[in-house]
Amino acid sequence: MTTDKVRLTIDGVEIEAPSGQTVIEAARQAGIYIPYLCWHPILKPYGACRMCVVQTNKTPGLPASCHTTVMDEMEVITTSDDIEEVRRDILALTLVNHPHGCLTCWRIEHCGPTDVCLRNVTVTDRCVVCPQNERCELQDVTYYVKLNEVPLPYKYRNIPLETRNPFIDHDMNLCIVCGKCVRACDELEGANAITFEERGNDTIVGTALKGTLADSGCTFCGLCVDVCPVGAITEKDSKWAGRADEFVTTACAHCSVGCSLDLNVKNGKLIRVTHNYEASPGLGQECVQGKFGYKWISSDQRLTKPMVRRDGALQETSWDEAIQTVADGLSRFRPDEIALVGSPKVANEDNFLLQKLGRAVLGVSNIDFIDPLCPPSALAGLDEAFGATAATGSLTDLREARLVFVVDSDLTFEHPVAGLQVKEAVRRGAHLVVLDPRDTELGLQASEKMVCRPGAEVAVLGAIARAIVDEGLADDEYIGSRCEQLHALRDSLGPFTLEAAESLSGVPAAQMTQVARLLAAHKPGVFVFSPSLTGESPALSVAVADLALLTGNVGRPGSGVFPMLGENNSQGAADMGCRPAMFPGGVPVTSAGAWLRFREAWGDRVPNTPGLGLPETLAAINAGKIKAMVLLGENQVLPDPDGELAEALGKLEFLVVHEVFLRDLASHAHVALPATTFAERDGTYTSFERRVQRVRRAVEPMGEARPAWQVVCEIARKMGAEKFDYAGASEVFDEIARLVPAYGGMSYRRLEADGLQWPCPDAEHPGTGSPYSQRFPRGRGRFRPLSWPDSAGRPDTLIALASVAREIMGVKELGYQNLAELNAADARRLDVADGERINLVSAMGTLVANARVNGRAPEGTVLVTMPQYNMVTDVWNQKTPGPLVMFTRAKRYPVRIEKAAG
Amino acid sequence: MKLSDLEGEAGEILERYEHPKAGMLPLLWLVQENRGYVSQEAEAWVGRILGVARSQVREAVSFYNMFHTRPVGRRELRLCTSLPCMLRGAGKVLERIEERLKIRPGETTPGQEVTLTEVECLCACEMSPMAQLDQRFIGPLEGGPLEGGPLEGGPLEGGTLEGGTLDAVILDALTEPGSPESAPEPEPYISTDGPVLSRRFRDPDGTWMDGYLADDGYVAAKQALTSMTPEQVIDEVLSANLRGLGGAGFPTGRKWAFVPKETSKPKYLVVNADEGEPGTFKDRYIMERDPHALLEGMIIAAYAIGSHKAYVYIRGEYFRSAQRLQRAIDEAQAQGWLGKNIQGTGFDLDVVIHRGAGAYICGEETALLTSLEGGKGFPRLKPPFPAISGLFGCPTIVNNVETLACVPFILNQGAERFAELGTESQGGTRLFCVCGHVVRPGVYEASVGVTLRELIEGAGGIRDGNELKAVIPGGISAKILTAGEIDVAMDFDSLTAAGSMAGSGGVIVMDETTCMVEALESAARFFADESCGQCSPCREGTGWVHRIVRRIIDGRGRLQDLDDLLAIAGDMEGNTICVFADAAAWPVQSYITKFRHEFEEYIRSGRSGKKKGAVACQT
Repeated sequence: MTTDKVRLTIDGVEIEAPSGQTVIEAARQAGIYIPYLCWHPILKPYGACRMCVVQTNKTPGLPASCHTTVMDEMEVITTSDDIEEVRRDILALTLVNHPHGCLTCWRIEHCGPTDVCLRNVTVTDRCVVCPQNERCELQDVTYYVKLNEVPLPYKYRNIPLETRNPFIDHDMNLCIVCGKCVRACDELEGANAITFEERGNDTIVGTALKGTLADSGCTFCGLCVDVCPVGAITEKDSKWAGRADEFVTTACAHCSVGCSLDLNVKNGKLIRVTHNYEASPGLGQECVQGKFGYKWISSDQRLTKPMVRRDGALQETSWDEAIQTVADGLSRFRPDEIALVGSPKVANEDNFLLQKLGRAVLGVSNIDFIDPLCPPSALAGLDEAFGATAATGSLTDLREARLVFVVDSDLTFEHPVAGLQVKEAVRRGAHLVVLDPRDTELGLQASEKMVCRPGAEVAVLGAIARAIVDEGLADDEYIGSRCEQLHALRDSLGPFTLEAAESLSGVPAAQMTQVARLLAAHKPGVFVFSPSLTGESPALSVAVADLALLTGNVGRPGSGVFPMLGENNSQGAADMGCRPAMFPGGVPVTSAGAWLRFREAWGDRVPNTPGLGLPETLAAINAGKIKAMVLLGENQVLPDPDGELAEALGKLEFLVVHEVFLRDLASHAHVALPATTFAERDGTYTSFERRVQRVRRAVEPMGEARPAWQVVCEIARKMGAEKFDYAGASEVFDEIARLVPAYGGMSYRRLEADGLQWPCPDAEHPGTGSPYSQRFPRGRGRFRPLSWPDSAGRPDTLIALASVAREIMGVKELGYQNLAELNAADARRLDVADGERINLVSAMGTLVANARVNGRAPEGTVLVTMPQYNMVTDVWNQKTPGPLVMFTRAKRYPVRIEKAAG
Repeated sequence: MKLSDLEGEAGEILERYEHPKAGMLPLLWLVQENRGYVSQEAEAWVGRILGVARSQVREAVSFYNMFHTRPVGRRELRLCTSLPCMLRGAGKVLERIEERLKIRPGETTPGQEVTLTEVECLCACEMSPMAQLDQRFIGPLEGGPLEGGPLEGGPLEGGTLEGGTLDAVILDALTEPGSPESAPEPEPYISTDGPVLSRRFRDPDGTWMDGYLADDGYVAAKQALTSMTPEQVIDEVLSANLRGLGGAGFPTGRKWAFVPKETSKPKYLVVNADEGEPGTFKDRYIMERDPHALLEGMIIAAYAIGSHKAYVYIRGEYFRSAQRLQRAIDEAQAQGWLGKNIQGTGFDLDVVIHRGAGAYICGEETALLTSLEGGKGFPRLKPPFPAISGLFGCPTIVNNVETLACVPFILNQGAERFAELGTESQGGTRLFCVCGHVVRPGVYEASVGVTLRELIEGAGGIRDGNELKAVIPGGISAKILTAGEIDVAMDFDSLTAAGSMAGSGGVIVMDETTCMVEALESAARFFADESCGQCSPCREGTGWVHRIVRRIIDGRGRLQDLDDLLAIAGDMEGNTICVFADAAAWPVQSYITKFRHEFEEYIRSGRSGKKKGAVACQT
């Protein structure tokens, strides 16, 4: 797209617009309304509804402004008698298939659903009983073009309502065939779940063969609901909630992609969530989590009052007393007997102050957080290679790549909007390489799909690296100018022969060679990986970073290394210093300069020695060395497959939990404090592309819930600490900006629109999408040696792999619950039939699941999908039925399969 | 046959296309040909093979009306009830077939012998009233006197025309597929004297390679490939004044020159053989009787635009055209006139036939491309024009069959000679299709400067010595001309000046017995059936026009209806992505404006004033 500007006038107003822009876009930017029905800012022009016709001095007739591009000296007239007449007449034609008795009635604003209608509009055909009433684009356009009469009679289509689907209802009697839903599903989601059926006058939107949306491949992203101008496609649950009073833009609180959402608020309540098309994160796309996963905010199960344990039971109390109890409780212990656990779900301000409490007040570094999908320690390879633990590029790089290499990430399921970028890249002709023990959706589209045995990923990556080196395919120029210590990698590649890798992983040697050649031939390339199956070992991140450097794929547009962080603020939690060996900003606590800086800011208690990370903390609890803990979370599901965490928490003498729900782990708490949700508080999240975005308060906190940063301040002040006085979250953020150089140029004011990507060192800096185009934070990119993986799944033991949950209501309806997916060959051997109830017996306990025999799981592997904490009743560690969905430390468990009784 | 048994053949089909989804229509045809209809299971199978969502298969199956989604009879009888056939009694033919087979259109005889389908124009109006039994065109179906009530029992009286009697057709329909057919091959009135296009039309079996080579075949192609630059070819075509004979009349040489020279993308030549304009049947004769002329034109055109891959999009009902053209492609391939390194010149060209499946709109060039890519035939917004971004997003030239068939003549005889054959602004001759109430319907090659009167006289004049009432000069989309307006030359510019258009060259003649209200009903039904449904004005407008005209026919019309019709037509005109809506609006406007009195009379009396109403309405 050229950046040239052209000058034109619209209705006499002089406007400068980028060339290539359409007239309707230019008019909108200038604040001039042109009516439309089939146009949408995120969709390609369609030109079918003709409401946007205008008159210009450069085009004959009345062209549609949605596909007329601006020209120099163009004079556009958006309204005239001719134009209005055409609009009215065509709208009248459109309306013959849509109930319009009310649309053309002057009394519409005075009518109630049960009023006697003098025009005999039947009750079911009235606007007041339409779910889209008052937020209907058709209403807007009808009023704008002043259509008072439809000369032709109304023709009712008589199509049955479709209410079988989760989340979404269809009433195609209201459809005006503008095609926005069909196009959104195709252009933006690539799902093609809905389509036009028939043709001509009978054309109507539907699923294939009137089946369910799920059968049609719907991902329930909800974009069709948001783009539908009328009441034909509506959100089941908020259908009748009406028009919102207020729209509050905020970052999504689900995964780490960080899409921008509009919280629709009415009478102080969150009634629905719509996508924010103007914001750049998310690129106008949506997923089911962001769109429909908001019900938990108003759950009656929430913790609404502070509680303190008395006589063995948690009892409600006041905030004052609760804070006093915490301050007194913590004061009973030596600082090194206390551990602090932040959360990838809470805001930067919360995590920042929690670690400040540890470092500045208690003087310890025992601070960590839990990201079950992407344990922070698993990304150490990135820090070693580049000098920073973060993605090296932006979301847009994923779609611009010519080659996408996905390792162990079920991207379209876990990070759907990131998955869409990869699909878009494939649509544009990129090669897709997938290495995964599972059969993921992206695997189906891959040009090379390497199905490896669980645990053998590093062997395969190493063998590919070796093939690249052996065949002379490495990017020598890049390595020479940007990297160092290639020998460290090269010297370690001895064991990584294609033969050895094939025998360990099951991936054919020829395929690995082919991938090596693809990597060399198709650049730029991106590497997307998730340690969700390999656990806390940094080996996978080392191997991926090595491969990226070897092929020159870091620091160029369309390239990069992307760890798929699990939660909305995983990046922020690490950035804020919720790491035992790192200050905020990811600086080692052992760095003398940083130590001085933080001592200067926070006083002399700030330690320069690393504290205990979470695994060591658990061991220390068992050894009686850690006795107290403060645990933050905003609806965080803590994985605990083997009950280790529960056991350790149970041994604590003093546990403070700040959470939205009082779930099983929190039930060990001595003090339980009610936390706000993302919709009830101000703050910031940092997404996986290093984008710092605003979270905004849209509704009042439920009960007495408070955001964590406030609570931490009160605790600190109660313990006598100074420098914990903030007038609001923005002041906390200002302190972050002062102490973390990468956040240095940010402020709430600057984050107002789309947020900023770090590094953003000063107030003029525009933020950085691709930070390593010149140099890496550590200077040169560093190769690290690989070590041969010690174990990989053998086909003689069945290994269970867990797939991650979608924390949303409605997964039950999507049919994802408690599935144990088996390979057909294994199923035959074990005499298990599709749909049968089976027990997965492991050292940890027994899981009951429904067997699904399909091609997704490789032989010797059971793929366990347990999606929703409040859906899962039978899980490992039966003591407390609860949210045990994912696995942290070891993702793989040998299991035995038995038929379930009954 | 199991679906899995078709996988090998499906794989071969996909190899012909650059993108798998383009295999949509061929795969659906493959399924239907082997299993009789496209089941839900088959839709899913096609989706899997193509790697597309099932809904996209669904979209195609429900858009194209030749695909069956339920089991049908062993044979299918498609009866054309479009305007040209209606003018010659298709309404009565339908009544008799219903009477005899005891089924209505859309139904199958109880013994599963035959399914009866009512279809829009099959573009075989020279043999109207006509039908298609499975793959074969049959007509004229003039079984006995067409006036008076249906016959009482017994066998139908046989007609005398060589096209076969209605009775024989029905007997045919009831026999097993593959049995000897009782109706002989029809032989309508076809020009065979040229000078440009019809020289090799004599043999009903079509011209084979030897015959074509013996008649200076492929000399022009050889000349272009060996001694001309692409620019010289384009210049020659430009100075010949060759204009697009599909209907739009755009200068062919200029179109070719739009293709960008510097592009890394492949370029495509796409031949529009989706002949569907009611009253038009010329391209079929070229493909069936002189297919090598088309191939030679394609080689020259591909060379001029730098394309190495050409697709010929043939409408689904033209089974024989596809077979004949494939025969010619195979011959040309065998003798080195297609494929790699043509005649040692280093020029490559692959030609693939792509069959449509019943959708008039696919004759619109961008809809044709969408359809070829495997989608429903929705036209695209322009710009970008296909020459810049067409098939698979690559530069593409779409040319009509007849246009390309003119090209070898231009190189052989010289641009000047071709230009001289026509008028100042348009060179050459055209194959005019004359049908309706003339004595001898058929294909007539004549200079583009011939007058409408000369054409009608050449076709033997008006049948039965009747008076001429009106003529549609360029296919059903063209505005109608009255008997007083026929002294007009048939080239693009003259007809535009006369308030109509040359269009596809389909001349539909109506005599005094024609009821204009019924004629408009037929035209309106055609456009309502064939609108793709994309743009609101057309989707809703065509439906309403038809409903209102239908209401008038049913005797429930109001005088206000006429103004409503004109208003709706006015809203459709110029307000859509493609010109289909304009084409649908023009008949409404011209019939009502020029014959308003007749419309008013019909509305007042509730029935046609024409005692011998030739356009039969269903009573």
